[in-house]
Amino acid sequence: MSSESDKRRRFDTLVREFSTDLYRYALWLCNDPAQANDLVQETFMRAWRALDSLKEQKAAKGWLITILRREHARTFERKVPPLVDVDDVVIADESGQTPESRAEVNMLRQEIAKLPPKYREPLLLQVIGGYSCDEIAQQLGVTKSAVMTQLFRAREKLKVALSAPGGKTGNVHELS
Amino acid sequence: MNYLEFKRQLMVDPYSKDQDFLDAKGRDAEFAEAADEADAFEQSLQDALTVEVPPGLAEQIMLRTSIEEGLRDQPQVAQQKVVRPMWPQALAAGIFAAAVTAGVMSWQHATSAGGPGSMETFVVDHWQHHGDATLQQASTEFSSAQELRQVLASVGVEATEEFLRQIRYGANCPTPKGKGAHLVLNTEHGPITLFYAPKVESGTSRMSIDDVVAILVEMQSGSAALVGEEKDEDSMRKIGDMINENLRPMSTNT
Repeated sequence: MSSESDKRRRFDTLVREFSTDLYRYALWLCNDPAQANDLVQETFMRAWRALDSLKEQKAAKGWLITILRREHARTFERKVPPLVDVDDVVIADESGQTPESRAEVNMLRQEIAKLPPKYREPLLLQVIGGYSCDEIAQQLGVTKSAVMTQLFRAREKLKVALSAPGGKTGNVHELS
Repeated sequence: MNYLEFKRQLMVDPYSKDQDFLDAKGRDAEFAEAADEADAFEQSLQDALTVEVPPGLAEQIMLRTSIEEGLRDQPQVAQQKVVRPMWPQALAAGIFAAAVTAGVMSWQHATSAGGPGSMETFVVDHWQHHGDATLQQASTEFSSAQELRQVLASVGVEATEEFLRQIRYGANCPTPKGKGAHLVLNTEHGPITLFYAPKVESGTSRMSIDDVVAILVEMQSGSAALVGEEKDEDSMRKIGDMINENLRPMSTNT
């Protein structure tokens, strides 16, 4: 009985700690709030059923992201998402932003949504997940140098888009 | 680390804790300017990725696992319920008859109203035939806001946005007088079932059906019943008190 309540307590802690990041990750992965919600719900259902296999609490976030990515691949990757305006998809958390920074952030959102998944996903893992290049490589099953290239390209594309006419003016340095 | 390497690091991993990289940030004005520019970009990136999360997401997840856990234990409870010798004559007549008789007897104790075609009879009958199965379905299947609006519109009502978010599952069901709605609501303690019958009149009352309780509420049009475990009666009463404000007849000018 107490192990059941320990399990429940442990699980509830995971949900409170990681559901927000997981939802954001899922939303940027599939560009659809309803699918993102389903994905996160299903991820935690699977996590609940397999909680005994999580031995170290510090590995929990990576474990949950792995479940979510597999679930996404299993369920949603076969569906080709319709091309939608990101403004219709993303409910922005705009607290504390000036109108100028809001405009820049909105433009950035459009560009992030347009990034090919192979560039977008490492960026999400780094910025939302807080992972190092080594950890991202492990999570995605690619080499560290591939991750570094993808992260470089992702930022490069975003900066180029921001500095284009209509975007924020700024310098983009071409690096070899 | 030279300037070119530093710039590449800013593009690849500006969050790196590598000491060479951290030292380079303040090396001279050129390095510092590049670092500031990268910091500003990263801040915008973080702001862009920080999207609003649906309210109550964590609670919904915890509720869903609680329901699954509860349903896993339910067959044992059901078995105990059938074997328990509370109504010997009904047992002799068969398990199905026992369940129906028990339900009808217990609500007749609670209220003198009822009879064929009444809200009370409908609630007992519908709960015993569809209550558990619908809860089980609601543990794995969510209705979208659009689906819920359609179900509600088909019985002539609309829900406030807040109440709509509380509904996890909804479907139409037959009532003694036409179409009704069978909803499952999220509460902090567990799922609660709501039946709405737009053309069946009823007063406000409480009744027991086997191991659950039902609170009947008079609506502006027809009546509703909240069904849940006895421990959730307070939550049910709170929902019942607000139900006429949260579930209103559709405006006719739309």
